[in-house]
Amino acid sequence: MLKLDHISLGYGQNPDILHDISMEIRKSEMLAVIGKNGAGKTTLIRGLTGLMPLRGGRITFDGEDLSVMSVRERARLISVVPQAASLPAGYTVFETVSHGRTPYLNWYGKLSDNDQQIIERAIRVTGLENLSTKEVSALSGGEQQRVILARALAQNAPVMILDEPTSSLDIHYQVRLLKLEQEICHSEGIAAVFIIHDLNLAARFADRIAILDKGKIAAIGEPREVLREDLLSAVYDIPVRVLDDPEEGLIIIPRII
Amino acid sequence: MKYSARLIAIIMIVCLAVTIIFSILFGSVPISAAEVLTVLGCRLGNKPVPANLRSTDTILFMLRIPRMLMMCLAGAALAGSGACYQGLFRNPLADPYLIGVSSGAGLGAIIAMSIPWQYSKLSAFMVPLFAFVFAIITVFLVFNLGRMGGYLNITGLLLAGTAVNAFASALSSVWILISGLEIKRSFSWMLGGGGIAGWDRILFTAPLILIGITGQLRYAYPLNILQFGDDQAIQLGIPVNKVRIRLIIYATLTTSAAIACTGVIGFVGLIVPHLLRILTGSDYRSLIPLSFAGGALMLSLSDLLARVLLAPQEIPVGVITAVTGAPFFLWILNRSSQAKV
Repeated sequence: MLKLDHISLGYGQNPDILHDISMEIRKSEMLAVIGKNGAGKTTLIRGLTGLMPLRGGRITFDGEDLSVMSVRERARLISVVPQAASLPAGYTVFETVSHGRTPYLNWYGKLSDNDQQIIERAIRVTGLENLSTKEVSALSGGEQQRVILARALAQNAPVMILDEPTSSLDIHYQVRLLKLEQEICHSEGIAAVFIIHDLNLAARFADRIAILDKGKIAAIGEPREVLREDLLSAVYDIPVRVLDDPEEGLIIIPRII
Repeated sequence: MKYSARLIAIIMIVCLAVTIIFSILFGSVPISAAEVLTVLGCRLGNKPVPANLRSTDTILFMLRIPRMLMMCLAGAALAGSGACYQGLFRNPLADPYLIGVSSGAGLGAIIAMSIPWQYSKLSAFMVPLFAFVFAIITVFLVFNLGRMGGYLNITGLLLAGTAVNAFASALSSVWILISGLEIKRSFSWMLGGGGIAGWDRILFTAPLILIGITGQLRYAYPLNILQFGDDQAIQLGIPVNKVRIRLIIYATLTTSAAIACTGVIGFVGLIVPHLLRILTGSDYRSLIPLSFAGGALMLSLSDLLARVLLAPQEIPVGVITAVTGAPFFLWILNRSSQAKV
């Protein structure tokens, strides 16, 4: 589906932040990207979403090169749930979610009946029906994050990228949001790439995990293949224990020394 | 509480119609409604105007009607541009006057006025052209100077705007003194004189203003999405740079065309969009057209007051908008700082 072929990314004249990255993102899968601060996770997202030009390599969707597509065409393929999105005052939940339809609308932004149905469905799936006329800026952090998820869902793109979607949420909303995202991915056939710092949540919700280290992929595979004590300890530069609980699955604990 | 955009539009159009009628009837020479109707009837019926109403005819068709039309056009242009600049800079204080665009346009217009063009019609065209070129230079200067650490905040914008404003105004004054332009008339123009509106100028500037406001309407929806920041706008499919550059050109074109005719008038672009945003919300698809109507209303009303308050003496209309606008500006500033606390 979405294929990264030997891509390199960097800022200005500085050396590459990500170098020679290759991986494939598959339909209906949740791919978690983990790694230390500064490993290049956010740069990867910026490259994938077209905010940063590639220094080398190419990204293709079903064989088509993303770099030759217009911003609008690209937005029909990849939707984004940004980290701590800035939400200006004055827009209701419905209006904000409707902005997800932008890549399909005419110059005036007129919504068709089909657009209305897609927006209403995104609002329903994310459980925002009772809030649709409320101003987004007046909502709680968890509710705002769901609004942004609904907007990305209304974008109807086959790939959704989530940049630390749980960073500002308490554990209740962290689990709720990722569970919702998992259900959406599996039922709608959407591929989700999400950056996350909480390794336990990654272990629980990801179908595959990619570990970034010093601008390269240190490992990629199913959680049990990559969440190993030796690998995590080396990548995070701290001793890590991985327990396999029969009920909870993998539990990752950093050791305090 | 928000009101429907349609309701506010109807109220403003009714108020504008009343203001237009008053603008035609009142002035240093009072004209009765019966006289206006007689003259209009003669003009529309292509009949000669009676001898006792010839001076009324001249006052109406050479002075009051073109001036009223110019004020409506300029008000619409300044308020629409104000709404656009506020959206582009994502800042409620970005008014063409406060960010220095008006002074830049004023400097360009003063320079063009001082050049002895061979034909007077050429002058009517060159004044808005010079105003536009200088205004575009100013907006790029303010945009780049105001960015502190790559981010355009209120402080940076106002500091850069104030500096560029002062610089352009000072250059305009020096130019007036050394170029031999009539000093009293020129300074009155810099304060928003409005007295030089004639049919020639309207015919040259109206198309520029109409092109500008059509362009602003064309990009009103992308401007909504730009409020979420560049990254989110790109991710939602908006070609941010293209939209921003075109909107800057359209907003600056309308501002400079208006300034070229009426002189430097401030605060219309600040007050009107801001009040309308409070009343009807932030959707630029309704905010921009409402600002056109609101701007026309505010400037034609200010011009009426400028002509009748100290009649037969006339106050520059820019003074009236400044007297009402400056306290309003302080109110917004106070409101913004309280919102941050």
